[in-house]
Amino acid sequence: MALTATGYVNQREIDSAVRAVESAFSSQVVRISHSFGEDNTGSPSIFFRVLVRDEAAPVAHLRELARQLAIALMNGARTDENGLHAYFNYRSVSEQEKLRDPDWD
Amino acid sequence: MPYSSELLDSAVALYRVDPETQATLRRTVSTAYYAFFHFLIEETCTNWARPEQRGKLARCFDHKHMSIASNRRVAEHKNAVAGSKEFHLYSVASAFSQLQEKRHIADYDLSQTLSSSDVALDILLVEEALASWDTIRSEQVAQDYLFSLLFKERS
Repeated sequence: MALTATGYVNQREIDSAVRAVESAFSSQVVRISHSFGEDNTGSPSIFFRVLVRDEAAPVAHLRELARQLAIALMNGARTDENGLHAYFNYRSVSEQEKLRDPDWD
Repeated sequence: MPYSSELLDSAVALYRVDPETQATLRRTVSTAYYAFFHFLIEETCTNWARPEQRGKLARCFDHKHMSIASNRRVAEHKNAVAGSKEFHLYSVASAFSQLQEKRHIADYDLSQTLSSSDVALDILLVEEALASWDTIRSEQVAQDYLFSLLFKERS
């Protein structure tokens, strides 16, 4: 459980929703990770990290994918209902191989 | 050229710096955010009848308040029909909210790495938000949003 503005959120439900979105977009997405915290205004937030396949990384394509993923994740994880602001970051597999950021593994 | 446009051009130029580094990517994100921040302030202040007071009015905006107002619009309109005025307002408010958080990370949180793809997306986010704004500028929902960026809304 994670403490947010509206109390405790069910992390299992959120995990399940994220996995469902990940599965639905698996042809373009390798993995969606998330973590809880506060944004720069101090509001409870959920931070999504989306690792996309290199074929989906060209920016014009990524923009449309990002738009669809953001809506799917906000609706699936019911971020607003859970009192969470949602933030999204994206990178390709080849970028992660260079950056080797453990938060993205 | 408006200051916000100069900033967006600078963000694009920073993104194109070769070789790309975490420093150039971070400055790109920060500059893109400030381009949009100042754009929304310019739009809001244009509504103020006395031009000589607009400079002082522009100093009254608060990042946190603008983020809260934007996140409220994101929650309200995230499922708006594509192409509707609410959809375009969602694009504007979402871009501001996302960019502000990313600007904070870019400027202060060196524990996080930035990717070129994500930064390119941030520039595109601002460009699309500006196009969306052009579509809805004169609509009541857009003007109400500008009002909410500066003033506290009471129900």
